[in-house]
Amino acid sequence: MLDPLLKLSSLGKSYGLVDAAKDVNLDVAAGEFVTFLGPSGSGKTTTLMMVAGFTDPSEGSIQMDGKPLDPVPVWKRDIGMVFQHYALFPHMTVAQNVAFPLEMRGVSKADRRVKMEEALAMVGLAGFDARLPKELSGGQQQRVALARAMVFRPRLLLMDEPLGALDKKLREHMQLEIMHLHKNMGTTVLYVTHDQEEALVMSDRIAVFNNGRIEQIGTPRALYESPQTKFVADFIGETNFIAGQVEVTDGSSGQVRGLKGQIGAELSPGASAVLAFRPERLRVANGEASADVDNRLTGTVKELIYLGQSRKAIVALEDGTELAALEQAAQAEVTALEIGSPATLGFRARDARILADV
Amino acid sequence: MFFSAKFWGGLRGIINSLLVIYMLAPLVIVLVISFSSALFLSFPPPGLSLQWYDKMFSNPTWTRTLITSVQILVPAAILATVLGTAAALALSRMESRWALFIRGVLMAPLIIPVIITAAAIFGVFRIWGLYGTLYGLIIAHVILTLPYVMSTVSANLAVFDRRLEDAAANCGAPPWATFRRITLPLISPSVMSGMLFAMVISFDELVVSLFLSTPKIRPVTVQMWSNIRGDTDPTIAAIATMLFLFSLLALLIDGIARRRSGRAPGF
Amino acid sequence: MSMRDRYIWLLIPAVALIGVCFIYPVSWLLQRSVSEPVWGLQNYLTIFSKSIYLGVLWNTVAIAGATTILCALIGFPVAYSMVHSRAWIRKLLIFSVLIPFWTSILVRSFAWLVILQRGGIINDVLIGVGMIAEPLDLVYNRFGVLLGMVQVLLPFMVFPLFSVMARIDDSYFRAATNLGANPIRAFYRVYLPLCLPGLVTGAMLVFIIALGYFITPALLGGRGDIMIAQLIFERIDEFGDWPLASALAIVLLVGTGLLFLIINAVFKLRAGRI
Repeated sequence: MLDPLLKLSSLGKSYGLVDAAKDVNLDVAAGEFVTFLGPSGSGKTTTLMMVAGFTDPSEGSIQMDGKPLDPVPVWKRDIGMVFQHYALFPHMTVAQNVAFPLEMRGVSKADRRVKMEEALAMVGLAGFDARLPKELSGGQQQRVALARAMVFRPRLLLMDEPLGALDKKLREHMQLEIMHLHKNMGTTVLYVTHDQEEALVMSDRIAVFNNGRIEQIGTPRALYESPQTKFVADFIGETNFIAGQVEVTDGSSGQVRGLKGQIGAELSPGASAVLAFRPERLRVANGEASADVDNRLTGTVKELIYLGQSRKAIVALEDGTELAALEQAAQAEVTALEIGSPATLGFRARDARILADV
Repeated sequence: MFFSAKFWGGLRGIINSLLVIYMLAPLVIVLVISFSSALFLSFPPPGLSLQWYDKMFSNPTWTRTLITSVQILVPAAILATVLGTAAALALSRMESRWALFIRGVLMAPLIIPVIITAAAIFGVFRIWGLYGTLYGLIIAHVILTLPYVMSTVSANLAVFDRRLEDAAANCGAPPWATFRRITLPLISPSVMSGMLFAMVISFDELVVSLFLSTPKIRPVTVQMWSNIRGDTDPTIAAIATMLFLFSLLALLIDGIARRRSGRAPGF
Repeated sequence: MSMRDRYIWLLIPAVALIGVCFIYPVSWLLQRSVSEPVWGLQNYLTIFSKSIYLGVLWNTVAIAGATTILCALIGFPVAYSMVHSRAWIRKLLIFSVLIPFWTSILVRSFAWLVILQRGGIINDVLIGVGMIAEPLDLVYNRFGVLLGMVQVLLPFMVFPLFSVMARIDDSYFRAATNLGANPIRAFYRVYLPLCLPGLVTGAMLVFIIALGYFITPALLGGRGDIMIAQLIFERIDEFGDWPLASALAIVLLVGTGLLFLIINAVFKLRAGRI
């Protein structure tokens, strides 16, 4: 990557003995949409707050355009931000809220008016300028917050769980709107969320946080298809795990309990590991398994869950491990499973990852 | 059943009426007497006149002491408001155990009996030469009213959303602009109401003033105190009415401000 | 963080003022109480051995206690009525309780004098209708003191009770009567225990504040109703007896302080249980 817009190097924040964030390294290219994904307390918000300037890093550095950001106070960073509950100024109208960043930058009154109206039009709120924030719905407040953060055309836009307070339908709608804005404006976005679906939909790249560290950075596809840690495999989407020891390995592929898979990250034989594979990669049969799979397992059908467009079967192996298999509705009709009856499961070695068990 | 609902309703009505009479009747009587045309305290008054207000404003003892009271309450209320608001702001940003301790120390003049404060301040101010001076009285009144301002503003700051300040800084506002444009407008209703109450308390204050004043520098309450103990002439009713109306006015302004800020943004 | 640290400077003026002009004077008082005429506790021994001082201490506790009980007896039905009345009655009651609270203590005491004294309104009316021949002594005695003090301190009882009662669901009471308890039993076993936290808070507040009262007992009471605050004033004002006055002030300070700590402890205990 040439000249990243934002560069986080060994960034860390500790409160006493607790590391809220530790050894965070990340390069963000101009125009990129990068999401920080992780459970609460995983360090994603702390990292965002360090970039915004609300939290001082205990170690490491932040650079923007190759210049250190640490000595720059919050109000001179020129970074836009959408806060978790919007943080609109309750005593100011929508117009005053949106024009506030321009006013602080000494923009003339006439220019302010023009740019403010542009920004409101951009988020679809033209004509709302005289309203007070509390006279708006949650979704409208969200848009005002967005307009206020973007009105001064910051090169970097931070969003801290911006859709957390909205209901599911509105959230999905706003996801698309934010994506369109991002594409049209070309702004670089750092987006924090704990919602993995949201991250998969919106991001160019996702950084998965856990215990203050970044576990893995990659495109949504890379994270979903080839997770490098058990945490990532577990946190994003649904995953089946079979625990055991690494038996044979040639560096890129190996075996766990006789089942073949690909090595996710470096592992030596004998180490405890899990074999991870997605439910939709499992083939289920009530008789013989199909020929083109590398691994075969047998078990008993414990539960069948109807999901509309698909059907999930929970199959218990002899040692009690339960695996989920997902089939499209049409395929499920063909397979015709029954609770309590035996089933055969099969999957390809390239669809399974061998990951360190921690 | 035990007694009928009617009985309980009636009993409650009686209790309510007795309470209202007990709490308000004495004040109403003073109010009425102050407009009496009689030459001595009598109720109901034979007729209405403004003679006692006339007497009050033409008697230099009362006008002088009234002016002294105002000379004390205005600077005292302003100082208490500035210091109290500043302290409340600082304390709301401290998280250590010290904050609790300092808050306790600043609230102490409200908690410990006034007589102790009065005696202590009198003893020390006599040594420092502040006894019998306007400055001494002002300082003492600031100490007594500061806790009111601080607790009113603190209560407001407790529900103040600190992220609004973060948001302002992120929008490019330096600390002073953030304070002036965001924090101050949002806490100003409580600052104003703190100041109003500081004024009322200072105007009504007697115990500390009793110790610190001399015949030359004497607030109106001290003058009333010495007159009430002598005899109760209706001029005092006129002054009492003025004090009472001042409190009522402050309460009213505060009520209106609260209602308006309830409709307007922020609360 | 540096930006937040700067706010500490805002504390300096208030802390300096309270420190120099309040904390220092109070400690100066404490020092005088143990250093004059010689170092030692002789002033405290005098207070706790001479019957006139013990009498005043007893008066103080007795008047504060009686005020507290009366406030509870009046405050309980009033708070109940506030919770269960229509909005305008509730507003009227709140207004009635608060107005005296915000009125100068002098104005209130003066009003009672106008009504109660020998030539006052009540005696005038009673003599006028021929019910009595000689005016009654309604003021400059314990009755006058309590009448005045209860009026001022009632809000401190009513509002804690009100806030507790407002949170009590009526259905408890109905459930209890439904289960066969008669209303009086239901009141004692269900309603009163639920109100107890508010009652205790209110009683403690009223008692503590009453202990330090000065103006009301001085204006409405007689020689037999002198409370500790009045004694402190007289010792200084008339006799310049600083050592004894200081010791009395410290006794009052420690007394109120201890009570305050007890309240705090009670609250912490309760909070811990919830």
